[in-house]
Amino acid sequence: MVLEALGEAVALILSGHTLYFLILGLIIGIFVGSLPGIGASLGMAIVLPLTVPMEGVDAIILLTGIYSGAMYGGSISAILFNVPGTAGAAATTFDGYEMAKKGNAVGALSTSAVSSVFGGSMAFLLLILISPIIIPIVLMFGTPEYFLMAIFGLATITIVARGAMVKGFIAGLFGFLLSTVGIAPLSPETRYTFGTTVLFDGLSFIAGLIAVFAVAEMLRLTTQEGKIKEEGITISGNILQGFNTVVKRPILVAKSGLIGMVVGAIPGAGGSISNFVAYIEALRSSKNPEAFGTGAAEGVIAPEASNNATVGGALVPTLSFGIPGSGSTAVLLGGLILHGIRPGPNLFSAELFITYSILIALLVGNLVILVLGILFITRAGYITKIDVHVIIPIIIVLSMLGAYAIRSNWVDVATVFLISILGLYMKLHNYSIIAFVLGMILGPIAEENLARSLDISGDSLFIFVAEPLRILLVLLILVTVFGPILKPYISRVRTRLEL
Amino acid sequence: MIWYCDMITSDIKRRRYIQTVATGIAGVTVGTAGCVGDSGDTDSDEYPDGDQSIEVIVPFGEGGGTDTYARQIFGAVDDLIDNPIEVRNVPGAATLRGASEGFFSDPDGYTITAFNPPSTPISAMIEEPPFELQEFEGIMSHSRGAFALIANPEHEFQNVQDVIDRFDDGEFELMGGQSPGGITHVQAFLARQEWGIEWDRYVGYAGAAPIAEALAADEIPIAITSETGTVGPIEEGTVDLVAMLPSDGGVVFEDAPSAVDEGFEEMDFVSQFNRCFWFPPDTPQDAIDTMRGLLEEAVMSDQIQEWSEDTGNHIWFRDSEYANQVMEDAFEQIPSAVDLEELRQAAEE
Repeated sequence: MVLEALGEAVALILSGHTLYFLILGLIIGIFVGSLPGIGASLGMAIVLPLTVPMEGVDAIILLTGIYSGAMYGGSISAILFNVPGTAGAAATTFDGYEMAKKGNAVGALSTSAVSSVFGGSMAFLLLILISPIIIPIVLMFGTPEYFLMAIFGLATITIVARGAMVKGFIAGLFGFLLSTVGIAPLSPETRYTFGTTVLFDGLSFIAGLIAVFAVAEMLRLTTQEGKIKEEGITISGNILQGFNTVVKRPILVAKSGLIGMVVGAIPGAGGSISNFVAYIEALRSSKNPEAFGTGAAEGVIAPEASNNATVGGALVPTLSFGIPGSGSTAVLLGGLILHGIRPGPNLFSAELFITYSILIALLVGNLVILVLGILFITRAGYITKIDVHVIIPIIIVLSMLGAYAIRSNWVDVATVFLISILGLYMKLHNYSIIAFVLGMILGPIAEENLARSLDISGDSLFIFVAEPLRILLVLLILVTVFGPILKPYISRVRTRLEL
Repeated sequence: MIWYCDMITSDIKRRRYIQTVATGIAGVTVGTAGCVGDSGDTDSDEYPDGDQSIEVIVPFGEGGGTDTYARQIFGAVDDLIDNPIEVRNVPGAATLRGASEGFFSDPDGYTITAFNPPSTPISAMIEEPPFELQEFEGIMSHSRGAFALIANPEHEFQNVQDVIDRFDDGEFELMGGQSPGGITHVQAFLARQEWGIEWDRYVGYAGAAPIAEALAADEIPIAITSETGTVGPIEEGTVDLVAMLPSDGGVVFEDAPSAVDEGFEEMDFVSQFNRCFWFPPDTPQDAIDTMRGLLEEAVMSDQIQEWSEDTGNHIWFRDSEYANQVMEDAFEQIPSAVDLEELRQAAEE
């Protein structure tokens, strides 16, 4: 059955019209993804009604093409303007923009394209392989596992704080605190709403990301004269540089792709978290961590390899149980229903052909991204020669529009305005922006799953060590929290022993 | 009573239900506010004034059931009048954000809010927003939805009595449902109080799909959720339908047994919901009557009846009195049937 479904899917994708829809989707995705504040979900939402006359699988391939294209497209503005086009490309700013400032925007853009393609392809291939047995794997991850994974994400603050541990925890806890505004996740209690219903749903973390990455950066740029590329530096780098850089680091690509796929499958996390987790892991395991933040190629490879793989991971809960983990997968779910494709375990058994068609389309789509990214997008590197005073108003207007488009709620615009000032202060005083973002995104996931776990267990904490998988996650958390603290002592003991 | 769904078999309805949201989404997702056009040919100086646009506030996201109905029905109203009609989604705060915008809008007949008793009244009773929801003026009700008791198929629950017996035996302790403090929590309270399902702890999830997954993973043995949200898992056999909660049975699974068929006390005031349209308080009676007439004509139109038949979406027409009555019933019967303070405390624990 598996081979038959695979053959059917390959034949469909290689039939002319489906391939056209895929390419069209990717081009739209790269375009909307590269516009800060717009992103995949809005692009998919705009296209969705136009898919009504299409065949179901074609429509879904068009939509997933947009999703995948946007994940890559988000890196373009992240590298060129330090403003991620999508939340999934936020970590790409740390080193991609530094490379652009040093005149190597072309190298950064080609590195981003190749990493996206390699990381994503690895995840899609892996999913194709494990699709027939994926439902039992999905069912292994329940409420306690989601809680532990969120805590693991929060624990990585010890790594991103990079020595400034107290500032890292303050930033993380402040992000967490902001996420508690609104109705509590599993009780009707309202918190910090000041009696107004516009705050009942809390502050949007997407607005927070737009604030700290887009608007705060524009505020910082207002103090800078000239262009993004630093004066006196010529544009260098070439399109083959990216290819060479990525091929030399297969383990980093594979690890980041795997992180993207696993984190993408957690409802509520998705690309906005996976790129940070992959970046943090690259930083932790690097032989040269000091280079991160100054234009290290690894700092572009890790987030970009992970965010494209996230698309594959996010499809798992969406297709298997109809649980959309993000705005993009929510629109995709709408598309599935619109075209009579009902999400459910059947998509991984009797109707496996549909799932395979989507995954193979994404694989083929990656080849298209590679061609577009290497041959065309790298030419955008010359944008770094445009005066920043032209760029600033465009980005700020797009950011504010994007913020309002999230939920049609003026609170999101106010959030962007206030947090951008805070973000600028944090940048100037070396408070970890990543820690802040981790707190804001993972806080509600941790809180909701903690509350539900305790409901299930009757308030017993033993639920978190009741299964082998949970014990493994607890151990991972402990190593992550205490590892950086104990590392100097362990090194000292080792040195003494060697002496 | 207009039960257009009776015209087609329940099997066809289930199959077509997949496309329930389809037509709605198609007209929806272009933006948060989508104009459904103005192609009418009526010329009148009175209400509705042909130059003034009518805004329909939907307190749910794009593509959901309430949104789909609103866009379909007002698409048909659009054929009857000149006014531009704009459907705007204002989701959030358990529907209270959209309801709040509708409540404080001008009572001139040009702002309509779509919400569904008893769900929104329960949110208002629990959250206590700064307005009196029951002061809304009902225009009409156009459809109903039902709730169901569903379970992990491995436990092979035979019926509601079997559920009661096995909870009594201590085999199970957990009851699942949607967010604590919401309508399924109230139903779970009543199922314990009136029917005797002695669950110990209520576990809340974000919606029908996560509930279906939690059941399949055996995180919880049984749950209450909306029938429409679990059509897929029930048909695929990943969850079992134990019983429908309303005495009239389901809307999609019409032949499924209800708990009332087994002899348990009905709780229809809370086990089903009525999709209704509302005007803000103090809207003139003339405007209410005119809009009710337009909506009746729209609902009875061939366009809406064919849509209902094609998609399996239930549709009926109930007048202003009915809408006001279901609102009144919700505010009278729920507090007398359930100790809201106890419910609030249980939800906050």
